[in-house]
Formats: sequence, C-alpha cells, structure tokens
Amino acid sequence: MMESQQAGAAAKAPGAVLDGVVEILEEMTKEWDTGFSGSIGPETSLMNNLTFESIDIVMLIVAIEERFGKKGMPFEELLMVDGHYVDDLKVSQIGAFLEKQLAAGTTA
Amino acid sequence: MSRTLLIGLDGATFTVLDALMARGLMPTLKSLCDRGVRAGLMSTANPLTPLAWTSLLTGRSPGHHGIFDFVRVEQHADHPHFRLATSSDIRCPTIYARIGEQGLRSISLNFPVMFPPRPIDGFLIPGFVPHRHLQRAMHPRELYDRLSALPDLTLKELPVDFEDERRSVQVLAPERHEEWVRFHIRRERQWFKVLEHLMQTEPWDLASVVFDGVDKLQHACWRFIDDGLFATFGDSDWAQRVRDLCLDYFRQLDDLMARAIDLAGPETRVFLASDHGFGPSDEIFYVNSWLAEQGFLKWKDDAPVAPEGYINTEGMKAAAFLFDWSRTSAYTLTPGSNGIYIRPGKVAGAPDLSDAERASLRRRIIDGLLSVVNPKTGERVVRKVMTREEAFPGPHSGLAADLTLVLRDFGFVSVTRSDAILKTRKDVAGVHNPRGIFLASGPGIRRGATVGDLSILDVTPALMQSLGLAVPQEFEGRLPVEIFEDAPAVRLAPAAVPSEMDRPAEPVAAGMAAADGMDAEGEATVMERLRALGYIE
Repeated sequence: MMESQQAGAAAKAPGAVLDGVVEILEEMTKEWDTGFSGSIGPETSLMNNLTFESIDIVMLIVAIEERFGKKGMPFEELLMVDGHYVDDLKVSQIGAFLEKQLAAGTTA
Repeated sequence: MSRTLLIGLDGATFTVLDALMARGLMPTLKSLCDRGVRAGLMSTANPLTPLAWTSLLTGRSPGHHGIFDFVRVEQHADHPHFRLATSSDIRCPTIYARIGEQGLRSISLNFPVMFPPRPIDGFLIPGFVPHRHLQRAMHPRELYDRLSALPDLTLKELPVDFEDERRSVQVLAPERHEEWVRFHIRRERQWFKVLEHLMQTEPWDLASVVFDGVDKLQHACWRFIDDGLFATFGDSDWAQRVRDLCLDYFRQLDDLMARAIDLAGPETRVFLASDHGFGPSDEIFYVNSWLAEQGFLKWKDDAPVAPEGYINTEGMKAAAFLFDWSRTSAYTLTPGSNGIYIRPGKVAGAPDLSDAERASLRRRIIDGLLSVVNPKTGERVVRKVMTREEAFPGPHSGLAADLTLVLRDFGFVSVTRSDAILKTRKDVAGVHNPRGIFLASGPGIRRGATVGDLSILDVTPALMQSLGLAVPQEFEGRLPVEIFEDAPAVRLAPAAVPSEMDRPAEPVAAGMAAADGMDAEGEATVMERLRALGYIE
C-alpha cells in the first residue's frame, strides 16, 4: 500500500506518468513476438505495434492499477470514442488519461 | 512439524473418483484412502473456484477475504462496472504469507486470484494467467527464465485458452472433445514438471498445486465420465474414444500424484482437497429472462435469444449490453456467481433505495424464485435463495450480489435471453456441487478412516497444524482433530493486529463513474471486450 502511494505521488512529476506507462509496456511485451523493432514511445500503438488483444488490455489495466496505486479508474473513457470501442490506442492517450485520473486523487 | 504437500483437484468429487478407484484406474488415490483419512469437503456458500480456493488459502470466508467471483462488480448509479478480481482484492493474508513470517517456505502453483503475485518466501505462479503475461506473473521473476531453460517444459501449455474454456462450460462442439481432453492431459504434465523441478531444487515446507483439468473435463464431458449416463448413448466409436481419453486423463493424473508424493518423501504429510464437487445438470434456468418476466429487468429490443444450451453470452454482446438500464432494477451478470444484484436506485439515476425498500424488493424476488417449478416434473427449480448477509457475512459482504441462488441441481444460471425461463439441456452437463473431497495421509494421520464432512475452511487449520504452527484466532474453520491419530491440542496464535487489509473496501468515488456522455451500450461493449472473460465460468 505504501509503495503504491509513493508511486502515485511520484507519478505527479511531469512526464513521470508517461514514463511509467512505457516502463510497464516494455516490461510486459519484452518477450512477445510482436515484430515491432522500435522503442516504445508516445506514438506507439498498442494494437498495431504491440499486437494487443482484449485479454492483454485487461492485464495492462491490472498493471497500471498496481503501478499507480489506484483502482476503479474509468478506463471506458480511454477505450471509447463516440460510444464505440477504439480500434487503436496510443501510449500517449493512456498517459493523458492517467494524468487526468491521478490528478483527481483518491488512492484505493 | 512435517513438510506438507497440498494437491488441489479442482472440482473433484468422490462420485467420480470412487468409480475410477474401483476400476483400478487410480491406484495412488486408492492407496491414499487406505493409508489415510477421507471426508467430504463442503465448499463456500456459492461453490465457485475463485472464492473457494481463496477461502482455503486464507482460512477466511468470502465476506472476510472479499472475493466473490472471477470479476469484481462495482455498483454505480447509472449501471454496474466490472473488472477482473485480482490478488490485491484479497483482504486477508494467505497461508503462504502467514507461514513465511515464521520462516517457512512455500511453493504455490496454479491457484486462482493470485495475480499479480504477492511476494512470498518461496515460489508462486498464479492460475488463469495468459501465456504472454506469465513472466510478470511469476514470483520471483527470475523463475520464468529458469523454467524456460528446462528442456522438457513448455510454458505455453501451462495456461488455459480463455475462449476455449468459456465454450467448454456451456457447449463444446463434438469435434473438439478429444483435443480438449488431450490438451488438459498435457497441461497437467506441465504443471507437474514445474512442481517437480521446484521440489527437487529448492528447500520447501509447503508445496501446493492445483490440477484444474478435473473441472474442465467434468464440465464438458460429464456424460462420458459417468458410467450410467455413458451407457445411454455411448455406442459410437467417437463416444468411446472420448470416454477412453477421459479415463486416461484420470489415470495420468493419478500417476502425477504418485510422483509428487514420492518426491515429497514418506515423512511428508499429503493433503488432497477440491474447491467444490461436481454433479449432473439437465436443465437451464434463465434467470434474467425470469427477472424480465417479473418486471425487474428490461431487455433491449434487439437483445438476441441465446443459442440452445448457452448459459453465457459467448459470441454475443455481454449481458450488461443487453439490458435497458433505464428500466432494470435487478439483474445477473455472470453465470458462475448465481447472483442477483439490485440496483442502488430502482432504475438508472433514481435515488438510492432505502433499507426497507431494498429489503422489500429482495423479498419479492426471493418469493418469486422459490415458486418457480419445472412444469414437466413439478419440482422447484430454485432450492434456496440467500441474501448476501446470509451467504457471505463479514466486513466485505456488501461487495457480493444481493441474492445468491442455489438451483435444484446446483447448476449455474444462464444470464442469456431466452424464449422460456426453463429449458431441458440437450445433453446432460457437469456442474459444480458444494460437496468436494478431502484426503490426508502421512505421519500422525489416521489410517483407513472416513470422517464426517469437513468445511473448506477446516483445511487451513489442518495445514497449519501439519506445519507445526499455531492456528490463527481469526480463522473461521476448526482444526479437524479427528483426522489425527492423537488428537492434538488446538494451539491458537495470538490475535492478529487489525491491518489495512481488514478494513471494508472503500466505495468507488462518484467521480470515478462512467464518463459523461458515454452511452451505456457503448460502455457495455467495452466491458464485453474487457471481460476477455475466460475469467467468467
């Protein structure tokens, strides 16, 4: 719990959230056979570059909640556009979503 | 103190195992019965894998440990959200954490709800983790590389394919039966190889593993395993091949158990336990269609009627996607939970129900359910309905469904839309049953004895006793002294200091509800994708 709170506080530093997401994705996908040879960055696409499927999104959400010490974030906001499931998702979008959510406080 | 080996057989029942032992197919199991103690093992109030195994590993009931389903449902004013239940939702320490504090080392393999892995003194690989995420799931992380280097181990074969599992629970296509059984034979071998490697190369005090193919086979192949049923249809070559494979699964499982017991050595106590039992089901109760018929739920106009035999929304929109939330006051989301949730308000956006209004609504639903009868047999379809306070007392009971149904045959409800509230299954299926199995053998354990049914909560004190440790006072089960040759005095550990874990879960903040402007249908689509729910049985 304490580690999570520290992680949440540290995430408030500029760029720290995006860096945290990149670290999670690097760790998560390092053994995957994605065919993606570049470095993961803001423009990296989860579905097109990292071959994410729905179960991978579920596991990513678990990892994000653990890393940033906050549960129950409305990931639907991130994954829906005009009522439809997004076909693609960029790392920068996750970072922006988390910035907003973490700024709202409330640590689980 | 004795080293202790816990073999979990997910869904095992003596109904099946006794017949297999009598046929000589499970000599190791027979020997354990002859050399040890056996008993029926009563599961949690809803005999479902995640809550039952969590109860065994914590010594606490679901109202205390906080796990009620494969998913965690969060009530919101507009409509419910749900997400994967994870180890951080468990509000009590596991036996691994408890014995680790006292210097004992554990091996934990394939138990559900253990992801993400909590550090323990020892080695842990959770169950229900997709292959691509296995490395992050292992504790310690280095274990993955170590296991990858073993020449005869294929880590890809450890997890189940979630989509396949979902299908197997409802209707498995005939042409897929043989591969389904072969797949689980391979899986059990892989889990055994991991267990074997760790037992041979690491010091350990408690080694534990779940073989869950028992559950997977019995769901899809019950009629091939049950002698009486098989005799009614099994005259084709295909049916005989499936049956032979099922029997071979149990034969090979028995061999793996023999090898594990041999590895553990004669001074090790061996415990076998299941999370629940199994039995036949020949009918399906469409609870959401019943709720709709009674005016508690409104289907969307385009909500499709499910294919024959389906209990889950496989290949369709998730149940939550099919409801008109503006006119739904009670609903069921997952078959395995057998649980009916009541909306905080009568419908979306309405003020929360008062306690009296909620109690009245519950009463009406309970009375209605208990009056449902099968018109062909005159039998009641719903055996019992428990409120969450009755089924799951404890500080976290508020996270459970308002009502938990126990069906006549202990089966799962169907959450799909149907043109009838009750249908006869085309083929008899295997479903969970509250009475599982318990076996114990080894130094100080009685030989050749059968004792009265135990509770799954009694297993944890027995494991603590076997390990030479005092029983934590907050454990809800009792130490089953009758399984020991000399009934041990019960040693209780000092009362634990209430920790962060013991606090009731905080309600989700209002600001964390769905985004403004997002329609329920769209969000439900996300939930359907997010479910990836192989996690729902």
